[in-house]
Amino acid sequence: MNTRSLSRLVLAGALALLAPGAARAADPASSWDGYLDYAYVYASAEPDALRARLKQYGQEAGLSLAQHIARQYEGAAKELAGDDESAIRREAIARLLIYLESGEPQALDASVQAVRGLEDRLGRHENRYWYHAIHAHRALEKGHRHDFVTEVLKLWLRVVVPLETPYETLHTLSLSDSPNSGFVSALPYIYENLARMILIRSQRMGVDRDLDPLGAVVRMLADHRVGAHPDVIPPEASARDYLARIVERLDGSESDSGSLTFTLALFEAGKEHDRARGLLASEGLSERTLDAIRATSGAYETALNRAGTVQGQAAVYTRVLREVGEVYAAKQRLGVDPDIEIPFTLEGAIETFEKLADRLGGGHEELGYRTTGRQAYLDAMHRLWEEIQEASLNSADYYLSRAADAKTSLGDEHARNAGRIYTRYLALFTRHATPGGKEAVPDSAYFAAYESAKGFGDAMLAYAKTPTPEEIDLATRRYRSAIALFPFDRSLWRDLTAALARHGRESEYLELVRPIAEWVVRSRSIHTWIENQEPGADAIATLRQALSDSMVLMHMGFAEASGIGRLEQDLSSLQARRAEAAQRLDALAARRDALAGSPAAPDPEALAAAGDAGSEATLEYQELTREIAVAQALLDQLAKQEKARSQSLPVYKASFESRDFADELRGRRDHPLHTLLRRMYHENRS
Amino acid sequence: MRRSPIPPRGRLAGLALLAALGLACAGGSGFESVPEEFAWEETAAEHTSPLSGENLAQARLEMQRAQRDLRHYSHTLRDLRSRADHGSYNLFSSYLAAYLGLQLDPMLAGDWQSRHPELMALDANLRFAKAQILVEMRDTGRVQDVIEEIELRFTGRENMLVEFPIGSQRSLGDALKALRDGKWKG
Repeated sequence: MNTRSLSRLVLAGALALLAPGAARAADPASSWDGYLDYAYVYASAEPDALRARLKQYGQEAGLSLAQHIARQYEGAAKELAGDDESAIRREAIARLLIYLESGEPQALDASVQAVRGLEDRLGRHENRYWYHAIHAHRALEKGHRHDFVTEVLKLWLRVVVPLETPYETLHTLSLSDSPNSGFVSALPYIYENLARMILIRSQRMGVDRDLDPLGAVVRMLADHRVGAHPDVIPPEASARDYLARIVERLDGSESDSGSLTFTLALFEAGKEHDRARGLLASEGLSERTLDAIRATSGAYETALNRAGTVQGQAAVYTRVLREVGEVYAAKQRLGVDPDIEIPFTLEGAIETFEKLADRLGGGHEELGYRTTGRQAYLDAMHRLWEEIQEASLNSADYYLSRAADAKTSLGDEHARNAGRIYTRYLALFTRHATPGGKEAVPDSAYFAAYESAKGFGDAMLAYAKTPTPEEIDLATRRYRSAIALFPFDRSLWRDLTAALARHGRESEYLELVRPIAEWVVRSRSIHTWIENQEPGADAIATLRQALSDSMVLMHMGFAEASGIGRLEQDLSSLQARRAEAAQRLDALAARRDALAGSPAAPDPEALAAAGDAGSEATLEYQELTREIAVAQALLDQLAKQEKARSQSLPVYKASFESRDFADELRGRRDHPLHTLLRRMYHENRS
Repeated sequence: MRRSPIPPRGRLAGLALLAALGLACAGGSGFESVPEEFAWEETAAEHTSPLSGENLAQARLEMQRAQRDLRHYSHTLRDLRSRADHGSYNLFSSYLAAYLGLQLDPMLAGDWQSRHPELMALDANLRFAKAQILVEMRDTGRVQDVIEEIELRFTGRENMLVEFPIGSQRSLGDALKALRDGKWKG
């Protein structure tokens, strides 16, 4: 629920409380006295709602609030009232309400002036409440941060704390709703008003620094106070949920060592971000969306400036990188490229990550994770990493799409920009995916490393128009790295042969990939995964079987994606040729047998002994024998080929028809297979 | 309609009711240590005699609430220190000094609740929480006062389980030892 609807609901509660008795009063002054005495119920409403409410009260009383002020608290009437305590308090409240609905500072000054008349009568809780509340509003208006914090703390110490026990007592006796319970019964509203003043109004008034001492008040408000009296303020009208979200952030891993200032700044930035997202979804990159994106960036920049710890910086970067990724994705999707400056860089995020990772061996508490524990520290690193990887991949993808569209040499520039982004991610990955550093790296980082390695290869070999020989060589090596990181991408094997062909090295294919294939076949991680029937185990088993067959490996490298039908035709043709060769062999054997006069084995030696070695029959016999040998060799070769192909083709076909994990892993950071890729990577390097 | 606007007389009657219930604020100790900024003539009610029934339940509620609040105060104070935010730290320390002097000390002034079976653990916990905050505030002298007060009040009950530091439990004897060892570490 947003703050506006919250306020509307609170106002509805106020209506229920006030309307009948006050509205029916005959005397306008006494009506307004009643409304003003209960102003703590509705004073925190949004200006529009408050204005409407005051207007309605004015209609009911037959006199607007401004007219009431003029009639009761100015000129002769004021003289007449003298130093009547209630009149002074009501005047101060009335002028505060005018300020809250209109935003006119003069009205607030007049309210402060009036409430000063109560300075020697602060023994009464009601007077104290309004005295400190009005001074707190003035501190907000003037931007006096220290004064605001002091007034709120005073209000807590002098009003809230003393009222709590009496309220509990009256509540226990079911007297808290009694008209005679006095200002004690206002306590639940005071909680709500304080929560709104600290969390919402302070931000709206631009008081966004030095609020940290109020962290205690916010935590106390969330602890059995705001929202704890549903009989008085319905939960849907309470700031309870909003407050709970703030406290969760304040004490969670996205905090800045418990700084309320920072938490509120990041929360406000989150609101701006949500608004920008909504506009992006509904209007695309319209002017309004661009304004919202700029406002979001500004709000995140403010939050970053408020961050005093690496914990806080990491929280900001984690969120702002999502905005960066969203903007790149939108530009690519919508095919437009407006100028949007987001004053955050991937380098800045990586630098922050490095600071976090530096304390992997100990001392993470000094970075801000003092009370949240090590797991929260690790989780924060993982989240930041994931945003770095997503923003990297999104922005590189954007450059690749620009490269594809480019008609000039600019395409090469875009492809190289993408290449640089992939390289930066791979460098980060290589630095941290080590036995000592891997705890900082999330599971999904390994697939992202595959995507980056493959992406670099694609950038240089598929998108750049004129890559240098060094770039082609590096791209080829990156393809091989990509296969090692994620051997279950069938298309990548063909990409590698195509890359090798670019510099005439396709013959090296088997030499390059066989070690990877052999490693996959004997990998303990993969074996265990299949044995335990983990997700995707059957498909992985099929792919492993495929990689164990060098014929299939060759198919994977050289066969076209759509070539299974052709391969099956080739096999049929081979089988026909083998049958033909067998027939020919049989025919040749029969002719030779006939020549030797024996259906059994021919005996060339007998023919020679008969002195007939040079005869025509002998020569024919010898020729047939040679032809039979040639035919036999051909038959053997064809049979061997047929056997190999008839064994490998179904395996290749099965591997081709198995699940394509790449899309699944790309779409889900929490896909279980990410864990397998992590294990495989470290097993390979152990 | 839940209630109607009431004239000041009605509210005065409400306060009178509180006074009649014996829960209106009363004078108490703690003025000397209250910083000027938060100085105030009003203190929490002091429980001067053993309570029972609803009053006892009320006192327990009050002490439980104070214990929860002290956790939040301690948490915030440590946050401010860890962020080296001196201005905010000083302001909040002043506030805490006022809170301890005006609210907590009167609540802990009576002797009886340290012996009352239903409240003594809470009483001890509040004293340890106060000491922990004073350690954070580097007010070693007052920490020593709290240590001596606990020793005096809880002699022979060193095995009683208390919360110290905030968030973890140990025997009162061990907690006292830890407090003595840590009182300079604020």
